[in-house]
Amino acid sequence: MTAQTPETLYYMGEQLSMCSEPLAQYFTLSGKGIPLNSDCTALWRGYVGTWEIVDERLYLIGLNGTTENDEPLSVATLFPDFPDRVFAHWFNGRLRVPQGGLVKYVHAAYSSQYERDLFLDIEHGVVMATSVQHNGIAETNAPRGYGIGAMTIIGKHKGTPKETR
Amino acid sequence: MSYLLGYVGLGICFLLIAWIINRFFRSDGTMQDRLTTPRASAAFDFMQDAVIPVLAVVFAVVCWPLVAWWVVKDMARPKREDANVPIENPFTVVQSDLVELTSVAEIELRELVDDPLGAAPRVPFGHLHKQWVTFRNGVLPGDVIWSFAADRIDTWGLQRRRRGYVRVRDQQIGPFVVTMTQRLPLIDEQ
Repeated sequence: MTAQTPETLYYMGEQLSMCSEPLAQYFTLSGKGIPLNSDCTALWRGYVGTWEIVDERLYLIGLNGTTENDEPLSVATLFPDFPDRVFAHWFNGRLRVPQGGLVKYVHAAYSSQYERDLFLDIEHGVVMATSVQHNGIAETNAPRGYGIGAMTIIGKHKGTPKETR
Repeated sequence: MSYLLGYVGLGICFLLIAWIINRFFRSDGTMQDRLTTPRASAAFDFMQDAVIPVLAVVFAVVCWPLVAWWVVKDMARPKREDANVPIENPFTVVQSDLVELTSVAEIELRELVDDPLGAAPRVPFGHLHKQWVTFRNGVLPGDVIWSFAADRIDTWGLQRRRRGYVRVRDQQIGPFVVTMTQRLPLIDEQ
């Protein structure tokens, strides 16, 4: 498996890469799913969500991707009555936000290790606790922030590979 | 010496055949391998472009019987189109999962979603209200509703927790609605 493109999280005034997928729980609980173009091995889920934490609540504020019919995906595709902002009350679990320099690159899922992991423990869409885990010290020339080393573009988008950063 | 040369020669032939098959007869012709190394170092590039291919060629020539066995084994393996999709055994609620006897009124009060920014419908279960209504419509007079909590190991070997509500009719466990699902952290994630 290839390293995966992260979700985007706005938290405390910063734009961060988030290695958790809160929408997956929504798809499971609602039984809904949208056939998406998954033409990149670094994005098997077929979409990238943009999230924001406001007053300790987790919101979905953006959604990028392409449906199977080549239509652009947006928040309104999933939540027609809430096209701008959706409270993720369905989500329970831990959000992982890697920070700092790259300590160890692993070309699979979200397995790469960074100097720190910021964890946000969420219950019914509300942040209940935060913690930071230190994973080591990166080399001085190590890349900073989440990155993907390689990917494969499949199918009709031949010739126009997507860049993830 | 001649045996060794013959062995290596066969390895080179095997490598050539494998390269020709891969180059000209690959079935997934639309696949395009592209490497993007936006933040990788020169050392990473050197590993990807030089060291790994050379090591692979040497390994294939020297250990070609092993590689041939892998190739045959891989070809004989049944292909699954949705190999990236985790498949869980169908989840069912059992007696030991039942937690508390409750009612529609209690649940709808407890599960009301109220967001100060108005980013969810102000109804029980918010964006998942439709699933709740479907469940509620199946509850008849005389039925009872229990909350449940169930931890199961999925087919990936990960522990998943589910909570929700289940209808019990004539002491038989019936349809249920899952209102919370969560993969439990592994020990080193805690």
